[in-house]
Amino acid sequence: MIDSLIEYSYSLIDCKGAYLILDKLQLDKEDNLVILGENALNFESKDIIELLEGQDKAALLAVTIGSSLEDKVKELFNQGEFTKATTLDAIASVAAEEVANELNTIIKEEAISYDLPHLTMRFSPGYGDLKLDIQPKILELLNSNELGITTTKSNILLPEKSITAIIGLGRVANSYRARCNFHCASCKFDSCVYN
Amino acid sequence: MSSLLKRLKNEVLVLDGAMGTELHKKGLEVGECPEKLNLTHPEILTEIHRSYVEAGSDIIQTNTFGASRIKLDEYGLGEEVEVINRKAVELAKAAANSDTIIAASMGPTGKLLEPLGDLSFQKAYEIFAEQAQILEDAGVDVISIETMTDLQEVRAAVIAVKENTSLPIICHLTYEESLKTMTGTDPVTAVTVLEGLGVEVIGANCSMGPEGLLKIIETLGKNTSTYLSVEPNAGLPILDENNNTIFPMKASEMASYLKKFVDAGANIIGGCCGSTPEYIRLVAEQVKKLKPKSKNHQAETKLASRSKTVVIADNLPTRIIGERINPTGRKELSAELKEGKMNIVSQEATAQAKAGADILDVNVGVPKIDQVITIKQAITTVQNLVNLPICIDTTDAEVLEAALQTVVGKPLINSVNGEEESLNSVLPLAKKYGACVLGLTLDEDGIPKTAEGRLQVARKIVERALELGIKRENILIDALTLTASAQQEGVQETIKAIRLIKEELGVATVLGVSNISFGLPDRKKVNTAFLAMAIQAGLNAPILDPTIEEMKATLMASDILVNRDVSSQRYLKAYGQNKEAEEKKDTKQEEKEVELNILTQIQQQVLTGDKDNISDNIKKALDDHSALEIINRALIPGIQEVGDKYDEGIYFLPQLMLGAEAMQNSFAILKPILEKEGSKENQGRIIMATVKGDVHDIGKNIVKIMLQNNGFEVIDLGKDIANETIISTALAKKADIICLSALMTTTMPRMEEITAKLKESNSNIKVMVGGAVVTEDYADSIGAYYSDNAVEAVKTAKKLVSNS
Repeated sequence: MIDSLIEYSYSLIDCKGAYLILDKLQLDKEDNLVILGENALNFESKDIIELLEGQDKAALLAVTIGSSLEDKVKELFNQGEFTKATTLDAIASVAAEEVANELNTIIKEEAISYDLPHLTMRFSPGYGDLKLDIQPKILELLNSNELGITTTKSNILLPEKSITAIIGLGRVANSYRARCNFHCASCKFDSCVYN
Repeated sequence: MSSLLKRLKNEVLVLDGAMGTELHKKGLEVGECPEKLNLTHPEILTEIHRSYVEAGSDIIQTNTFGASRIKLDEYGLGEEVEVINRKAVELAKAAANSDTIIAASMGPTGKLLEPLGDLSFQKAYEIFAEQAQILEDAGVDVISIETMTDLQEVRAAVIAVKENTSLPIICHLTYEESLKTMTGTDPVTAVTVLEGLGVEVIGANCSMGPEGLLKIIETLGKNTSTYLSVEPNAGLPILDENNNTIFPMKASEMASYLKKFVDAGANIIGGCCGSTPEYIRLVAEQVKKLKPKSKNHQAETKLASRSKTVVIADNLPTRIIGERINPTGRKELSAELKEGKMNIVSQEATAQAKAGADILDVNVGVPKIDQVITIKQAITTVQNLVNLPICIDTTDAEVLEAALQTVVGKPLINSVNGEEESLNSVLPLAKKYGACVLGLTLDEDGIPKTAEGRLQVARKIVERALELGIKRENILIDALTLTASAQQEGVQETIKAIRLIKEELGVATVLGVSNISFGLPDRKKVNTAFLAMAIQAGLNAPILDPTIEEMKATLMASDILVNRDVSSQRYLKAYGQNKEAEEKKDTKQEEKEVELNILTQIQQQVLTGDKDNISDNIKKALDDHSALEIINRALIPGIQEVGDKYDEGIYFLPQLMLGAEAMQNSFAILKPILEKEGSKENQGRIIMATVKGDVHDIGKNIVKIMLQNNGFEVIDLGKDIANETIISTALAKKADIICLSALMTTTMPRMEEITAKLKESNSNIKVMVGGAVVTEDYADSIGAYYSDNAVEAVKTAKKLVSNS
């Protein structure tokens, strides 16, 4: 069943993505203020200051797999096809993640052309202290209308299976990683999303 | 003999410490492939190996834990499997002293094997075989399998190494706080399976730190005389102030457990995550002064499922091999197997387990079907439902091998016999898959008439099995029952043969007893008398129908008389009370059986998620039962069992959802009837919503379905719902519970606002919360109730309703 659902999901995935590389990074450690590219984007975040420490440029990205797949999940749920619905939902999450990975690779190629071969982790709003209200701003900079991504009043992305993120590009590596606030020792998950 | 095994006779050997955490110290980044460093940074590996050799490691392990093709593929390095493994061995050898033993580390594939996941046994076998062959060819002395949590993957790995190399195996499993592996295997069961497979050293590594591992080693030490290995980690990892993962336990503290490990029976001691050369130095200093403790555990005939071991011995209760999963003479079962349906199989499995079977025989011998496919299906079905070991009933080698690959644990093969063809095809499979094998005392000339003749065939089977390396305790013999009405004089020959076989060969005995009464009236009377005689003669495991009360009663009574039931405990437990109830039951027995049948069938169908057939049975059941009765006696127990299996880690989300679908289809039929009957009895009323600002609702929907299926009335307001709407609806509808979901830290505060509002208005509606970012601490702090999955949520809701 899983294999055939994966096969089926391809027909409902419409992946789109966009990115933008900004330079002129200003990191104000005193006020935890981050300013990217001639004031294109400014916000507060200690985590992003750590992430972009020693980096030369920063990439903004947004990806989505469209809304057809999640509509189908809802439809299946309403029809009582719970197993298919939950499986397809998991497939959709993986797909969105994979699209972001793909865009990551493209960004890396461009980064290498600037002689900035080291990419930081992909840091998304909601990780650490990076607030969700930055999402509309990132989308605006990326002309998100073409991508079909919008946000709710509470700054959550629609379609749900969409991702925005910031990546630092540098001559040297910065392996700063987002961490959850919880205790690893008592964590019940097999794999860590922050790894 | 390999130098490892030679040295283990007199020495406690020192293994090395952690590789992964040492690599991270030297700059390996999280998310990078640790084995790639063999090629890119060989000097780092040599340095780590050298540090362990200098610290006193007798055995060092290659950096190949994740170097199987399937693991390397995750980094796009699958094609490099050979060079990475070869290089790893070269680097370990370069750092080794002349007497250092090189162990090749092999870790899990990272995928779950069937039936828990979708990696086939054969595929896993091939992956492990490939890596093991490369490692042997590169010149390692031993294979060290580590951090295994799935018993089925362990079997695939061990069999692959055994079949494709001549290296000894150290096999480490990883246990959790429950002292079971993640998929439910306890150390005793691990011993049963690993000894069956002929593993040279049984071990445990990682996970709980030395204290927890000591408990495992103590249990292992009491249950085996095989060598033991232990690799503790330096406690559970925590994050320091710089968000770096650190292992809290100091080398000296870890070392304080060393003597206890040796006392418990450990023969090899090393370290896992977070252990350092400094720790290994302490290990070497201390254990070199100690002698290994000798373990004199008596060899026993043992079978196992994933989570349970059954020991067969003369001083233990007679074990029942349940015979009902067999299509011979059963038209309905034959027809189902032909169609690939497993309803009756599931029913028979649970019914026999409930009736007290210890082992379940599985036979799918229907002519003109693909028995390879059918036996796989049947075994998976049975093992998903009950935790009893399996007796694989086939004489076809191809079907047998498919079954041996599918079954989890250590099965009994039923059967081999004295014919050359049978001995040559069955015994090697028993050896390869580490199974017990049942020998029938017949050969090319048929069944010998006399007891001596059968002993002679038994002797031949035992000798041939021993020659192949199958241990005596893994051989069982069936002296064969003849029909009393046809060959009356032969009955006592069978009884005598059991005695002779016990005396001379010392193996456990099995006997199918029901044949004795063929052609006679009131067969139970003859069967019970024969069973008692056979137990008296030394029968250990009759094949019978445990759902026939008289057979079980005779067995229990006989066990007292032959002193297998110490202080008559089992007998008293079964028959000490409820005498009246017993009598009443007799009169109504027949009616009840039919009744139970349809409800049990429905319960079964929920358990197996058989949503296609459940509707028919619901309609059938309605002839004799009220809708409410069907819900309370079949559907609810079914979904509760599904929940239990989910808790135990036997079921995962898909099975939970399949069960839910079967429930939903049933409710679709029953709901209108319930409404008509006016019996709107329900567990309680629950208002559900995803809080304002949050749009994620898959988790909420899953919880909702489970609550509905367990008899709650759920009013689902949907997602992105304002506090006021939630509260006013709850008050208006007089809800018992409000269930809230939030996925984001930014929307989570709505939960607190709602609980506070309710408190202000003096409402006693309880609030349950859940969602990705919600924790128990948070729930406590706002005065709400937390559950971290749908099954938990149902339990919490029930508790809340019953308390109010």
